[in-house]
Amino acid sequence: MANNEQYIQNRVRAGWGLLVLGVILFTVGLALQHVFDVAFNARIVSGLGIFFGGLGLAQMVRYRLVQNDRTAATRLVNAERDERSQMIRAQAGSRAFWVSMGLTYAALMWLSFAASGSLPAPTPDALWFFLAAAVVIPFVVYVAGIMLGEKNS
Amino acid sequence: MENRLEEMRTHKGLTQQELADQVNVSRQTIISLERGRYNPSIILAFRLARLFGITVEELFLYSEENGNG
Repeated sequence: MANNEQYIQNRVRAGWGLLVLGVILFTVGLALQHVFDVAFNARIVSGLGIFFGGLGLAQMVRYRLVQNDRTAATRLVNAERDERSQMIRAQAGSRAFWVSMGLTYAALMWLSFAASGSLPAPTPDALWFFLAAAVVIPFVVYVAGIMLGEKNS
Repeated sequence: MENRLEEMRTHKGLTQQELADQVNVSRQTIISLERGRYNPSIILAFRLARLFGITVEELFLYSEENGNG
């Protein structure tokens, strides 16, 4: 029981850490954009700040809600450490990894052939869309894998 | 794998959630175990067997036909 409380406290602390990191990155991003006028688009830094801040806030809310309720805290920790859920997540992660590998390998092959003139070189827009897909598709495969695993086991 | 989990749980007067709380897993895992759709780790199998005061072999009924499932 004490282990669960410690676990929840650690998670809340990690949430705070992410929130602080997010605020710092967001502030640095704004400063780079408006004060220092850097050559690159500093929104990428403030965007990262928003991402980490949101992640930290979500984590804090999630764990703070159960911090004073011992039963709810135990159930939350049990659900996170549940061996069946971990197995499903591992299988989904493995599938997503292989999809990601396949996409990266396909892009590498295309670029190699394009360099030798056997295939047309991708335009910057095409490359951007492909890279975006290479991020989104493995994530979709991961989430779908979890949903399928939960349904089938 | 077939098992006597539901029988033992109801005999002990436990709900699925209460059993899940006692062996530190989610209620969904107990449901999957009872339906025979998930085979537990050896640690969980021992925890469940000890909770009911029986052996693992008495709780989980292994046969060669369903050895993989």
